[in-house]
Amino acid sequence: MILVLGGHYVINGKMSLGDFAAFNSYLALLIFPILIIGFMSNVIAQATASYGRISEMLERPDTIETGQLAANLTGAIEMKDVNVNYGEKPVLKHIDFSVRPGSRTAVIGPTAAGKTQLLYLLSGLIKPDSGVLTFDGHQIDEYKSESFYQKLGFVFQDSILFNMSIRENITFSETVTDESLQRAIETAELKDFMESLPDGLDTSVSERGLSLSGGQKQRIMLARALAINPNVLLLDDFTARVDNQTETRILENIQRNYPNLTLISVTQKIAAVEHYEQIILLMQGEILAAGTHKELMNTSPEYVQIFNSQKSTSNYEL
Amino acid sequence: MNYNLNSIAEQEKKSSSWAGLKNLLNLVAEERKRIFLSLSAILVSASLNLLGPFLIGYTIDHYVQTGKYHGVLVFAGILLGMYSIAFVSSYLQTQWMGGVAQRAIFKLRNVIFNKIQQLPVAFFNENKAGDLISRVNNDTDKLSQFFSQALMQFISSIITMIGSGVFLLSINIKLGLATLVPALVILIFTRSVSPWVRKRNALSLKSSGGLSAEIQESLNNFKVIIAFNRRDYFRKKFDVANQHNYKTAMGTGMANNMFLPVFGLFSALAQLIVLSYGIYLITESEFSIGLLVSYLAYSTNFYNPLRQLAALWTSFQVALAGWERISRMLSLESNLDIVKGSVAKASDSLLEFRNVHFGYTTSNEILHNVNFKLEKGKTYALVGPTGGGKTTTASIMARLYDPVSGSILLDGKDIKSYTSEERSKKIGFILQEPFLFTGTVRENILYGNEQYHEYDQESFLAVIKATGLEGLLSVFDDGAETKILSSGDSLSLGQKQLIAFMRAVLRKPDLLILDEATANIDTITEKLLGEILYKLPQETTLVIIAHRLNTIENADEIFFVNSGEVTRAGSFQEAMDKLIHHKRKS
Repeated sequence: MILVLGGHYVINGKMSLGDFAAFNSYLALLIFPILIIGFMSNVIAQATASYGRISEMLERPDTIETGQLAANLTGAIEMKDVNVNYGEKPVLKHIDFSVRPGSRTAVIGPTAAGKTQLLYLLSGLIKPDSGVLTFDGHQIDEYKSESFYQKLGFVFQDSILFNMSIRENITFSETVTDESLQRAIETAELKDFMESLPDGLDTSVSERGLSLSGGQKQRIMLARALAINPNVLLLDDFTARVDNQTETRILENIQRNYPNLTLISVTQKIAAVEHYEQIILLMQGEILAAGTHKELMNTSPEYVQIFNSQKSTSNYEL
Repeated sequence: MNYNLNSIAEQEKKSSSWAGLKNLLNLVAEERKRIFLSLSAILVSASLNLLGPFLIGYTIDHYVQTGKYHGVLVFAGILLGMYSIAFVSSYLQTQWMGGVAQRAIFKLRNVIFNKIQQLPVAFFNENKAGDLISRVNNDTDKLSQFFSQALMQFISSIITMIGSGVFLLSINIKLGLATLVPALVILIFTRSVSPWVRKRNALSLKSSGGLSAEIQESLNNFKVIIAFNRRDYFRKKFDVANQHNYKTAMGTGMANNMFLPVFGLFSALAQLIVLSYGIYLITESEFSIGLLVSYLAYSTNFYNPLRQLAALWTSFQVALAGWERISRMLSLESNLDIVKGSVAKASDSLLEFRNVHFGYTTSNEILHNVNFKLEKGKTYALVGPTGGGKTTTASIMARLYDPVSGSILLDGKDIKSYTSEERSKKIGFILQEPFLFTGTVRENILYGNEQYHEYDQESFLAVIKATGLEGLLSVFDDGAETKILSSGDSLSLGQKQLIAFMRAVLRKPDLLILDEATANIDTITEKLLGEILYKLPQETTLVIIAHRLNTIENADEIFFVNSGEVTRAGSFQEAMDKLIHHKRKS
């Protein structure tokens, strides 16, 4: 094109040869940016797709912080006709029970009875589909979540450790004082273990915490929950991985070091909770029976069945 | 063996760009035909594009200046034809190379993933999952970009440059040399800064790996973070990682973008030289105007690709940095190699520990001189306080780790002489915290089971019934077809343990290890499990780790594990005494 038209103009004397040369150079300059535009439109298309995915996530509504109350939980907990469904299927049905401040409650029941869900409910990780759950007469939503979780300790069933030092795994932040950290470690019977480690509390835990034994992980989880000085402590099958001797000592330690603690413990072993103020027997999402060990032995055949199945174990207290 | 990928990095000496390029090209070696086709397409389009200016110069000198308009039209037609052929061939080349790159990356990701699967447990203890994911996804993506967008342009630019260089020199050698001086300067500059740029890119990839590790960790453990109200803490941790990533990325960006302006400056300089020196030559009448026009075009042709090269060079350095991270992972060898040539000696013991010492790190020995034999068909219990070494002993039995010294004999043969398939067929290991896949309960139970893996619902249920396992399926809402979401978060730990139990029992291993495998299962279900174990073939050897005594009562022999020592307890009563009176050390 340029050659034809330009040649024509130059031959006719309308354009100087110098102009033509300049024109030719400009054209060469023009081509590179045009190539880039083609390339850019490709990049832009990719970026638009990526932005779509990102904004989809950003536009999800935030959980709204509605609570205003500063929580100073005494441990008075009440559930009234609480139901929880996962999809179509009910997980917890018509749960009614109450817990007195400073008391100890055990929840026992077979696998998949909904015990863990009950604890999730109590810790506000899941919300009831119907019914009311109150702490000191107020629902969890009414509390400021920050202050609520400062008074509630939760030891999960599976050990969840972060790739940080043991100290950070227990304290999680700088707000925990050294004093309460020490108390938590002593209570969880971790003191000797910590002292045996080369870097003590500053030993780092690998991502999956594989260099620790199951019991050690569980006890670190307990120390984490205790370090915040909770008023209410939720234990999810805590004793499953800890030998009985240690378990007994830990439970004694908790009694001594945290006297006003309200304890709700999911467990398999009746022996350890026989003297608790309340035992709740949960089966297939329903409360089958509740009361003291003595009451349940008299009223609930299912409870007696479980008790008997453990009898051989109970005879040998380790 | 050191498995920490990030610390290996520091020991390694940097290889040159060219050696790196060779490695990269090996990746696509199997696609030779396509690459060759693409290359020829590039050659065609590049040389046609190169001829253009020469023809224009010729036309100007012979037709425009002499006023022969017809000749101008003929040559315009020829040029049009040439340019369209060049367009078609470069289009084809892009198509071909795009395919080549995608296939190469697909293959590479497979290779990496298979590699990860082969590596021993120790590897996963030392590397963060997020960082590994970033290596598989992000780093390979950098490579893919290089292959699909950069590689061929890179070559085409070089060809165009060389061609232009040749034309420049052949038209007029003096002017040509003068024009190429700036290019020489650029070459020296590029060579000297490239290693530094690559290092910056490696740092940036590393920090984005760190970032993804951070995200992965807090996503996995969100329930703890919420229940302890530590969102702020993790937000801060993420901010720090992100800040770090930002800084290294900024540094890298600066380094990467340095090429373009420098290249631009020198190409402008070159044109200046052409113009001034060229005009001087014309006044000396050593040169024609037409040639000068061609010359200007060629020098643009020479320096434009050079400018493109600046951008491509960056992409090349990024790809190399990514490749280094990937190849470091690929070069790791599993330290659990298969040793050949161990002869089986007839032996009544299924598994034997001989003077086994073990520690996860060299400084801290966990098991000291452990010796014991497990006989076929017997049930063994490992008891002892937490942290005493029970799980470690069991992990070594299943060869999740190799002992530091001493040996382990399986069926009279060194356990190291079995391939991992043979070994896992013989040994079933139910972990404290079983791992499940997204899928159904049935799929999870049949996972890795050679005998039954193709079974459908009905035949599966038949097998389950025959093994006496059907009672266990009732705790799942939809039985065997219950869906398992996000690696089992929808199930309780007890349910997971049940699945792992069924998985292991159906494989009918010679040695079945249960590591607190029933700790979170209620006592009534546990009795059922006990009955199922009882129904296993006579020759199955069981190793049970548990705290509950009733699971241990039926054991033929009890080993007491404490402070890294495994001692045999003569009787149930002796084990009890040891447990009660021994000083705990953990």
